[in-house]
Amino acid sequence: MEKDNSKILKNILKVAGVLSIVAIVYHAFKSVASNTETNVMSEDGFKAVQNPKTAEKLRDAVDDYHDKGEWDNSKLESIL
Amino acid sequence: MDLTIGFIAFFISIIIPGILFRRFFFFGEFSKQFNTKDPVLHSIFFSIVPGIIIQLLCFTFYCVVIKFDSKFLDIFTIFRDITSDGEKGIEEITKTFINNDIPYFFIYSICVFLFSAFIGSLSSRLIRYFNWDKKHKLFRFKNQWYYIFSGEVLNMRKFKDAHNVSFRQNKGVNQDTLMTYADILVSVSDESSRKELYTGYVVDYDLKSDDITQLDKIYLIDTHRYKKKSKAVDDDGVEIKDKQEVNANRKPTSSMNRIRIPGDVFILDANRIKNLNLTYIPSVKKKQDKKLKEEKKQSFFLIVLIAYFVILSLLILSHFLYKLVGLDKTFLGSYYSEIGFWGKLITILFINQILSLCIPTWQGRKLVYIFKKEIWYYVFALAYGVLFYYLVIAKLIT
Repeated sequence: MEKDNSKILKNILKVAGVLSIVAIVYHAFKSVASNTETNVMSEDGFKAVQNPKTAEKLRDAVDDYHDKGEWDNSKLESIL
Repeated sequence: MDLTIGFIAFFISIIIPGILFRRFFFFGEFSKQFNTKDPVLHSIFFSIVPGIIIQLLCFTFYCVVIKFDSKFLDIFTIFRDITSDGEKGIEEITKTFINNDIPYFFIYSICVFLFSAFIGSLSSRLIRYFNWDKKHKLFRFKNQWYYIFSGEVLNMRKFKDAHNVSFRQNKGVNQDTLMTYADILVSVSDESSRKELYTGYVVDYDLKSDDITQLDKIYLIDTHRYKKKSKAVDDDGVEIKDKQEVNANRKPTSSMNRIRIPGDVFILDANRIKNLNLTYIPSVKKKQDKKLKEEKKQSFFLIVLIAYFVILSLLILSHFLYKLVGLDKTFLGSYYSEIGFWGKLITILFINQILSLCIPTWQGRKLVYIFKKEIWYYVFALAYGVLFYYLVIAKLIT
């Protein structure tokens, strides 16, 4: 009886061990995958262009950059 | 190629894992590098090496973890017997395999397929995660247009010198791009020399299916077209300039009208493109995130540095206070009582040399890990190691 119990316990521990390894691997993979997405345009950029007001401001910021050669960071921060 | 049992076994064991590895290795924007239209022999050839490696890994794992009662030699024996015409007889191990182990072989093969897909997906993502594709050409994916349109081209090594010379001070290898603004000059037709200038944000692109290094289409949003302004002249033929135009003389719209193109997405045929001028808009959010991450890293490095000083101080102090603390009654007792001054000094120097491998060093105001140490570091480590052995370890052993 005692032998059976320890066998069951061992099996439960084995399954728990395998499940925890799977969970760790899955979590690690997810974390790596979320940091390696390949998007040409970021989500924030897409949102900014979708809104006509911010799109206009952003275009002005780009024109300014083309004119002055430097980004106006405060302006960019206010837009994005 | 004849469809023999040997070929099927080879296909299941080596080719399919290799193909699956390659299919999942090229993900996202690089997925076109795995093309189903590739010639079969080409696909098979490039799948053999990853297939063999995966098979070896899986088999070793099986033997070690699941205690698979088999040897590498058995695999070759079974494979030889299956592929031969049977004239030389069949080994016992092959008979056992055919009678009892075929279902296990298929279960094992399915596990190998899943592992190939996983390892393919993981390895390419790790390459991206550690930016190896930007640092080393060996790891770079074939789709160079992704690097160009995403702004990652700025982070590549070959642009490092260019940054120093051509780019402005807030551009550089560390820039994270929010999106790419493109000015695209397009020829209207093959016959005429008329060209048009379009501008917009690059949202996507297509590559040619037969040559993935060639651009096929570009998708723009918030697209505008430039049109030359018609000059207003007075009765005497002199150009009339309005006040606003004079003030905004340096703006790109001063000599051109920027006309918004209605619609959601504008698709440009890349065959007509004469040249592209790209402007990478920096991401403020990513910059802030990076700054936060760097601050966290710096505080962790500082803790490591403090821990190093504490350990080293305790080590030195222990040589003076070992009796007070009771270390002479522990397993270190013989070290403290039998080893002389020079032996103890060498011990401290040796441990310090080893510990200093694990600590970051100051570079300006930043703490960084420099793993490329000077040759003197290794010379001293080796010398201390040798002396430590002869002056301390050898004495304690005898």
